[in-house]
Amino acid sequence: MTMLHVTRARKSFGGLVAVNDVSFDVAGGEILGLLGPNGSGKTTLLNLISGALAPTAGRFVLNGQDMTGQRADIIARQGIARTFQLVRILPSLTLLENVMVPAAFGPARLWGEAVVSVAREALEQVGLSDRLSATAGDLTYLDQKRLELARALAARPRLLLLDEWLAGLNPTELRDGIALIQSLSTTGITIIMVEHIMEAVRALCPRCLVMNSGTLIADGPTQAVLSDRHVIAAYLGEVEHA
Amino acid sequence: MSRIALAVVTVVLLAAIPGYLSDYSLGLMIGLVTYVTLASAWALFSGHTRYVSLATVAFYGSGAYTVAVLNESLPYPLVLLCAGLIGFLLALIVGLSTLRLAGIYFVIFSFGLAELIRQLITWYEVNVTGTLGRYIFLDVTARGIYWQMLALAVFTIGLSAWIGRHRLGLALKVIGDDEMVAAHSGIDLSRTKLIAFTLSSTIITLAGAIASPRWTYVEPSLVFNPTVSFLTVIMALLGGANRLWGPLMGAVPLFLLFEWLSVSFPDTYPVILGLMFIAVVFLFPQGLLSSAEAFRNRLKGGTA
Ligand SMILES: Nc1ncnc2c1ncn2[C@@H]1O[C@H](COP(=O)(O)OP(=O)(O)OP(=O)(O)O)[C@@H](O)[C@H]1O
Ligand SMILES: [Mg+2]
Repeated sequence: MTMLHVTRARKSFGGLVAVNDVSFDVAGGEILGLLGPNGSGKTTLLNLISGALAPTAGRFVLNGQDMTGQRADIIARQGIARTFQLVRILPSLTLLENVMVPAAFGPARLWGEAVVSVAREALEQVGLSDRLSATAGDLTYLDQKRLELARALAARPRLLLLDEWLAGLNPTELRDGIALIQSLSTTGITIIMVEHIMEAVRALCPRCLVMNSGTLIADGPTQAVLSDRHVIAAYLGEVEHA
Repeated sequence: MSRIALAVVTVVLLAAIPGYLSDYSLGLMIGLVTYVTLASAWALFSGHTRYVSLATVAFYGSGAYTVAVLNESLPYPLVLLCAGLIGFLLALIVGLSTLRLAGIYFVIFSFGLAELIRQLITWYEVNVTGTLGRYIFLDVTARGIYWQMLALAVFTIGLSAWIGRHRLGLALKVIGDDEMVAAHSGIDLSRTKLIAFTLSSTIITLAGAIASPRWTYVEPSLVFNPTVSFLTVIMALLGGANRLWGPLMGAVPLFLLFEWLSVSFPDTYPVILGLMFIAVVFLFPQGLLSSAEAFRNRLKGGTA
């Protein structure tokens, strides 16, 4: 069943076309990798899906509902949650409060004990449940990333967007991070993840999209996509030379 | 429970005070409670969202001026009701048109608003009614004003406490931290800000209406004095605008200080006020109490 249906999505910033007529479908329960060199438009595409930016053109349909041009809060209430490439926590709130927010205002609109228990559960999932009343601004970078994931999970989203959530982790943390995302996939959640770490992409994503200069240049099974001539030319070549 | 009991006893004591005060002291108490109300109402919107509003006197003055216009044609309770309604509508219009503005633009607009309203009223009075300056003749005593203002202060702090425990309070805090995250968590930014701004502004308008009989003679330049806006911001920020009791803690000592300054140094008072405003906004945006606490924690952290 199709969860998200993106048709000819386009975003231009002045003369620069950051996302150039991109179309693809995501099935429910799928974990989709979104690859591409720096500046190829991956974050912009996520921004269009989450409503952070309004598309210049194109159509976005979530579960049969047209979401094109909707505000971010409405899209969030329809079940899309995300993390940001540059981590965004709520620094003056406690960990528990941070994670309560999407449970309180997201699709479920919980309050009272229900919101606290959902928040605790999400913090437990990422291993932060021992510091519920710490202030989020005092966390280390890695813990901020965990907190941000917990916050996205507390929305109980149908579609989760991860923007390089695994970036900046050391090898041990990376293994834990991959295991964590793997454990999420068993819950039936749908994930689109922007990722540069090939090890993670191979382990987690059966299918990948590749973008280059705003255009979608490949869409298919990860193994096939990664050995595609155009992809190697556009993306892997650059990484290997780096 | 004991905290509520303490609050009730304090309010009862405050309500009983006027009988023991001279006229001068009662006047001072009215001013004090008025600024507690203004600072607390200001913080209701600006404290968590961090949208620094300099529109306080736009609403406060509108309340006072409404009474000046209507006091001879309507019974007093209806006059108050009208003032509240006008404040509510004005806040709705201003909120809808400005709450999308970011930071500094909002500050500037909110400051300009009071001036705009003052000029509009002046123009209207001069060109249409032909009267600049109105008298307020109401048989409201100083005690009556004090009690009404005390009730409004209690209501304001009570409302803030209630909001703090509900969705609206959490939403405002999130907006103050990061509007992008707020929107992506499902918070309707415009609606949340508009509700808080309207509540805050309506209370401020009512405060102006309640305080107005103290003036007797009212004209636009008197009731739209920007000093009121600046004082309110300094008090709320210094006490800690994101804390329930912060605005009160700032308003009480600062009101007395400003009262003394304005009597002792009438010429340099505006300069002192300006310097304090700059100092508070830049040095203690989180409030003196929070800064002191953070400093103490750092010392503790350092020695541990
Ligand atoms: N708000 C914006 N205004 C103007 N240009 C933008 C904006 N956001 C992105 N861009 C431009 O759009 C292009 C695509 O950027 P985007 O952040 O989507 O790339 P990306 O694939 O996520 O890159 P990276 O791997 O570095 O995160 C870049 O050229 C970028 O400079
Ligand atoms: Mg990016």
